[in-house]
Amino acid sequence: MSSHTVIKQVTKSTFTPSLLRELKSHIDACDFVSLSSIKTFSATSASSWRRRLLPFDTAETAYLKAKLAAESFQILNVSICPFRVDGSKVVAFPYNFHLFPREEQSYSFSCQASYLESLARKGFDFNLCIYEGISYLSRVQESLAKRRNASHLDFKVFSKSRKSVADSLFMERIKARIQYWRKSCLNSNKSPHGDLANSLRQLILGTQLHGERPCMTIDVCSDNQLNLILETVNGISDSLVPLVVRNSLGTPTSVRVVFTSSEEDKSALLSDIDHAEEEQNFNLRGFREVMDLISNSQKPIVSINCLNDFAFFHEKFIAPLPPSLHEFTCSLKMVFPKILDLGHLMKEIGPLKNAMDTSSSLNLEVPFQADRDGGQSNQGRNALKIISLFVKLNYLHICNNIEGYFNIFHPTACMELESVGCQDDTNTYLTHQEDIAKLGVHNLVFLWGFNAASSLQLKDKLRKYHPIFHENFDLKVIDRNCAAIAFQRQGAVVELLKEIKPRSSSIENMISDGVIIAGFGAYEKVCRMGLWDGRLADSLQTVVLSDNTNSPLLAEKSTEICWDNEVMLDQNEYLKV
Amino acid sequence: MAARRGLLLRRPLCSMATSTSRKGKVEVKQVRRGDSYHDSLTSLIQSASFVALDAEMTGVASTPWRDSFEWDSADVRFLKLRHSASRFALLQFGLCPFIPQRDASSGVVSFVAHPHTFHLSPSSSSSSSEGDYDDDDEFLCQTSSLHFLATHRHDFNTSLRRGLSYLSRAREKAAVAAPLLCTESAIGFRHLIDLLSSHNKLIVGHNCILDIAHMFDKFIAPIPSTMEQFMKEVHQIFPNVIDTKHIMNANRTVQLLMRNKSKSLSSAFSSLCPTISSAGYHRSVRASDVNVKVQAHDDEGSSLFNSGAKHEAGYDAFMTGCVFTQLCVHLGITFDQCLSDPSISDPLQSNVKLKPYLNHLYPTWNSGTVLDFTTGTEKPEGTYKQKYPKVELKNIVLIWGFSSVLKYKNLKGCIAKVFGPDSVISVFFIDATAALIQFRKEEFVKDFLALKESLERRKDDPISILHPLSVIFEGGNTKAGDYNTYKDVIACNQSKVLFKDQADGSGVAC
Repeated sequence: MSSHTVIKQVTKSTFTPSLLRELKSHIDACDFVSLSSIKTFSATSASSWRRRLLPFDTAETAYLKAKLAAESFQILNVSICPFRVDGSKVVAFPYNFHLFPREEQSYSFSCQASYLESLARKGFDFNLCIYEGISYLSRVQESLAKRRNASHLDFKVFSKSRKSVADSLFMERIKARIQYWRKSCLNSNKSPHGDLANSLRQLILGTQLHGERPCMTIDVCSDNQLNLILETVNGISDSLVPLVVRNSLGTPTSVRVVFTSSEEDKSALLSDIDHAEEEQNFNLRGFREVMDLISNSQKPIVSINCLNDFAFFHEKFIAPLPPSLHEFTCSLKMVFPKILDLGHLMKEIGPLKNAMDTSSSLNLEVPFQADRDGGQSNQGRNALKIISLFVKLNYLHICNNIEGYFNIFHPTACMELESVGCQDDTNTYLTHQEDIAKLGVHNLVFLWGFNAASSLQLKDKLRKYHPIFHENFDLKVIDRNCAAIAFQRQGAVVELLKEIKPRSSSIENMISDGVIIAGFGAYEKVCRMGLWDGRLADSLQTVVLSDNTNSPLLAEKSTEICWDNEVMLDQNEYLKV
Repeated sequence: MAARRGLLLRRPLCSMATSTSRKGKVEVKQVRRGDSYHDSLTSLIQSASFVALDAEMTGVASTPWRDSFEWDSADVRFLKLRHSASRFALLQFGLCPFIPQRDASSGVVSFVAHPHTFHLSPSSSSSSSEGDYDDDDEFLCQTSSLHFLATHRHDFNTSLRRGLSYLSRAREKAAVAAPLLCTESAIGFRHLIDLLSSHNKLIVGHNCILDIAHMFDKFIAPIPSTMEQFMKEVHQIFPNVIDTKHIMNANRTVQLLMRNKSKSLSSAFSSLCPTISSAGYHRSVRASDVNVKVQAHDDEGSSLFNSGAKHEAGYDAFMTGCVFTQLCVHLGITFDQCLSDPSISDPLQSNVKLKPYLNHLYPTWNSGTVLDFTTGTEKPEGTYKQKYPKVELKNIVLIWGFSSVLKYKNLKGCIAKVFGPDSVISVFFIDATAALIQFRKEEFVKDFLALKESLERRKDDPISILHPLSVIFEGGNTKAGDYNTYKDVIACNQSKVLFKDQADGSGVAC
């Protein structure tokens, strides 16, 4: 693909219903939609344990971390590209939407400073985002907002069967007021006294204007009064249209009675109101309209790092994230039924990497015309890179059965598109996948409270504590004083943990040194309880101290993890084991 | 897209760009990564009578309930201040040295101001390298603050692309072990702050407690855990600080002068310094006005100058300094000393008339108190016009998680049924999910909490259901505590939008 490929940049001023119609027609005519986003954070460049995916993260803990990130950070760009594969040619329509929330959607948010600076170095335009970003409301936020700003006309009249004397008096009084005013409206057109007298009369009667039409305002103190007024207005004449005026909390404060001169005038008023509401809703939903469009099209979505991205999309555009991965996937499936995670795809085809077509280059056609200014059209290339990768993987013919790959996320692989985008690195990535040891969470223990300068030194120390550490195990330092240990042998962990709680004499030295060991269950609990603040050792300690079941905190169920030997966890871990 | 402001202005050495050329046009030197500033500014600071400063940050409060409230105790206000300064980042830091000079013809002392705006990189924001928190790399943004800066055409790209990085003293110390992190340029900007400190320079800010807190957190060390300790440590490093907002509120002459006028910086600038702020409009120069000129000279001839605008840190620092000189006139302070006796290194801070205001900072909320950094105490300030009646903290109950339809009237009504018609003095809604209730008597607090507990114990009992207070506890999610509980929730690290979620997540006793 050429670096001059035109990507449509969409900001507040160019985000219109007609743009949306154009996007819809492209989506309808395409086979797939590729999606990518830029956030104020990147999991691959984060350093703290709560932000990064660690080699012992399960799908569940990876989801909880993605949830935390989606709740804390903000989306700045979403690039969307409907595309279709025509033989050897790919036709694509790339859009890049610049987003920035309003205060009502997001009071404050976090940023990862080093990542923002790396974006800035690559030319990312933060001013464009903040000055011109499109706002949005999630589906849940919208329905809450709707409850507050209920429509002018949707207030139903509940006719009470029995009215009190006070009610009847109130209605009579209102009726007299409205009728008197209405009469003056009917007469005003043929008044012989001229403009001055008219405006004087209007002043005295409290006549205002709603657009070009006369109207009067009646204050409302309760829902009962509101009901009575609406009932009265409806009883007087069809030419009067009552509009309910509400304050910012959605409480009705007054009724505006609008006078229409004819049946046509009335329907014109009603359609004006509909229009204004439509426009207001469009602005309110903002970018959410685009996500709804994709959702409604039911087209398969191709993306990468799906767990993270779709956790963000769910949180920002659909609803607050549920507490478990299972609920999340169920909820997501209702909105986006077919998602293809290239991360998962690449893992699956790892053994076939030699078949990867290294010579083919993508024949990409983007029918968009360059804008006159042609400026910042380079932002949002990731959706195109995804297409390129997808097409290359497709050439491996493993995608004949594409349905079989839908909706399986590869949760523990976070990839930098920059590196997987080019051929060589893709191969490296695929080769690397084979080096990752398949271990279960039952092979793991966490260890903290030690005092060692390197993992090598720590390993030495452990061997002196307990004979089990003479077995084959791998050790990774997570942050300064916490480590994860993976035993090769099944059952080693259970044996070790068995000796912890009753304080067997064989580990006396370890305990008196202040070194503490817990099973994977402790880490699961930390993530589930949201003990994200501070160091991992402190959070694990909190869990162990609050646990009064005397259990060794084993993992709840056996789950496979990808213990990646290449991953270096702590910058301070200069020595490799 | 933001219109780029300013042009690259080359100015001959020592030319005077006086502010009298056009209305409000003040040349502010822009300092970004790679720009030279250090030597010239060092000598300017050394010869300045005082240095005015101002900071622009990415936000102030991370949630609505972290804003300052009328019912916040001094402790709570400090917790909010500390959270704000440690979590939000600085985008710009403005320094403006004011150098005295004697007018050759009239013999009157005037000032030459040198406004500088430093664009800072947020990546060096946190000073908690050693500390308890592992997220050095993260900072918060308040959405409304960014929108606000955008309306003033703030250039976010400059901060992120060319912002200066800096190291706090604490970090520099910690970085000795890993010298790679500790680059020359990173320490460079911090050295200016050290210079202000080592020369005991008079520092002038407007409503500057938050700026001082940011300065401490970013350039010195993490803010200590108590207000007393914080004030003591600030005072050791910056022994001479003036808050112009405090002078405006505490001096009767100035109060009279500014009656019914806004005390915001830009309003104070236009009302106190009309000859500077609207120079060029033919206003008569009053004899009492201090003349301030702006010097935009440049030894290197390659620096970028922008004409200053409101809410640009360098320009705000300039306005603050001008306001200060004019306030000095109203306090009866003359500047002759600034030049006459070079042996007095700090003529202003030793001035008897300024002394009562030295190191007295306006708190984040008008609580009728002032922060005295010399003694490290918060003391009542009689001359402040206090807007609100005093609050008895020990008479306060905190409730959260109640039904969203519960309003002031029902709340007060059902409590009155139990504790008597005048039992509740007032109710303050922190947000839609939490409220503070002030009782007339302290014992009502204990009674209320005890009653809540007993009603919960007998949940399904008809007496509980019919009890007037059951309106508050309906739904079973209402929790309550005393004022200490409120403080504990504020002290937590997270920032959930709703107070209820914060309180439930923080695990405070209830």
